[in-house]
Amino acid sequence: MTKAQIVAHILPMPAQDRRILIAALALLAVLAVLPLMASALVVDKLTYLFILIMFAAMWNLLAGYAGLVSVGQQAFIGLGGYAMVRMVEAGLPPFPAIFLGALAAGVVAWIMSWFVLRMKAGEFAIATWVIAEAIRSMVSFDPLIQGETGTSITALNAYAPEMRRLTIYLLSLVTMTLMIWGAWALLHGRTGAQAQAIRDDEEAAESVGITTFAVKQRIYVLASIGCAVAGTLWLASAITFQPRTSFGVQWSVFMLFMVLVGGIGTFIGPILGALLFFALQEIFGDFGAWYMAGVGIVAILFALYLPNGIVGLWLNKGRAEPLSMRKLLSQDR
Amino acid sequence: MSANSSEPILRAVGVNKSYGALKVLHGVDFHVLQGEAVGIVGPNGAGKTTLFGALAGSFPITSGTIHLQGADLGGTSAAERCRMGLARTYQVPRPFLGMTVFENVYVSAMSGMGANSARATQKAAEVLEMSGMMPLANRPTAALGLLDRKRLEVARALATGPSVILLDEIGGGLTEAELTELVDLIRALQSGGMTVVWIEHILHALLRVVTRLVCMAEGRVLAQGDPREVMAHPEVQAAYLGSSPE
Repeated sequence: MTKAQIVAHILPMPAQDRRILIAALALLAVLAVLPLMASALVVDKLTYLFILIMFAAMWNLLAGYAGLVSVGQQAFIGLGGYAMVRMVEAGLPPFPAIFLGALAAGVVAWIMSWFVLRMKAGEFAIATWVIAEAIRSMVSFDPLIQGETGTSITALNAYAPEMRRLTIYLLSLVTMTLMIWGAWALLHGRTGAQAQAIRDDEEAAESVGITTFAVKQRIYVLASIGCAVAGTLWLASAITFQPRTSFGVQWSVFMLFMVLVGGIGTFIGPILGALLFFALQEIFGDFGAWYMAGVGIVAILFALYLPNGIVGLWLNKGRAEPLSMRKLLSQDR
Repeated sequence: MSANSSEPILRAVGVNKSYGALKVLHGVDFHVLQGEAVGIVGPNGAGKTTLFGALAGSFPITSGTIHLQGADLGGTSAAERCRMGLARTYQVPRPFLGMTVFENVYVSAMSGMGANSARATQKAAEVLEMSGMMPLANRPTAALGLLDRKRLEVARALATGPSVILLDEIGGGLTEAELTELVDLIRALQSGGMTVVWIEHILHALLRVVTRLVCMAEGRVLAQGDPREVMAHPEVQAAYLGSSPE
């Protein structure tokens, strides 16, 4: 061979991203000790924010990186909650039930995946929604749930309110951190690269040796467990399980809003979208129907003026996307 | 045809493909020998691309058998066939538009060869260098023009580490100079030992590469053999060039 030997490697993480990660770690450290000085209200609100971030990150994993636009993730929020209720009823302590309930929802997601992942685009979206509604109906037939009345996880009342609040806060913080780190690792690896190829062109992805069904299934089940655990953490702070609330399509609407407004298919966008959504709920929350109008107006404004979401503010200035999944090749001979 | 002692690396026997009442392939027999370059020609609608789809496993065939290196491909998916060493390109390029040129090739090396990240990076760099796309490595695919998209199709297929590559009209729409570049690339591949099957309407480019030609029409193989003899065949003249035999 006369050709010079090529030595190539992928560029390491840019300095900007390293700074963001260090800032994020510092923020997490502050959040970990915050309950020592913050009021109960602040702790509750932050818990809810962490849950929103988990929902946004999981929906982005599905739709932004694997092209799986699901409108039925509430199936797993509801199922995780229902499994948690049943497990606590059977005598399991509520805190382990948060995670075991979510895993049970993951088993259902795995079974569902064999059907729904054979559908594409709009069919897939509608099917996930219809199945979520069907599961809601079935769950409400359980005498323990009493139709739409629902039931409360009274075992949680055995803990002092302060203790319960702090435990759920810390569990949410740790779970959110692990979920974001897990999504980062997954997307940087083989599954992430393959999922993005499938999102862009499923047939072409198959033609370069990607077993597309297996990759989609992995992402679908993981994102469903992620949504379920965010849902059971939410239930643990809300205590009362009602099918109409837990299986409500509003969860999917929230996820969609946060991801689209933040920047779909970007890593940091949905986190920023969750922060914005949280702020909107805080600002407009007391205005009844105006709250929905406010959220709607923001969505329209983004669609018109910032279609790439909050991350578009960087991209439109020609700057690199923060915490991008992009792999840049560098070669030295 | 002269006797050849080597076994075909890819062999299709009696391949039929129907979509409902519409029969697109009628008992097609096709083979290619190890290291051979075979051209497929025929008018539009002859079933050339459908034959590629059947070979590559894009859809199930109605009946017939396909073997790659002696292994029966019946029931294997397109992804499995790729991992077994059969790569294809698409007539209309289908790049992964949300990714860069390098990422397109990298994910193909990772998936088709089962390579780890370091090995896939190395393979991708080699393929990009070979196809002249190295300067575009970190360019978003959506920004590429037609020639580069076609080159990327070839690069992506090569990254999967194939022993047989199916090229579907990669010359269409290119200028003469661009075509020459492409022909040089394919000749280099073949001289490196790769088996090439190339569907092409641009005959002069095709004839600079292939040693055997297959002409299809209406889902059947009309003639095959030495390219010049095939092109002179009266039925081929009638079907492909539109002139009726004297």
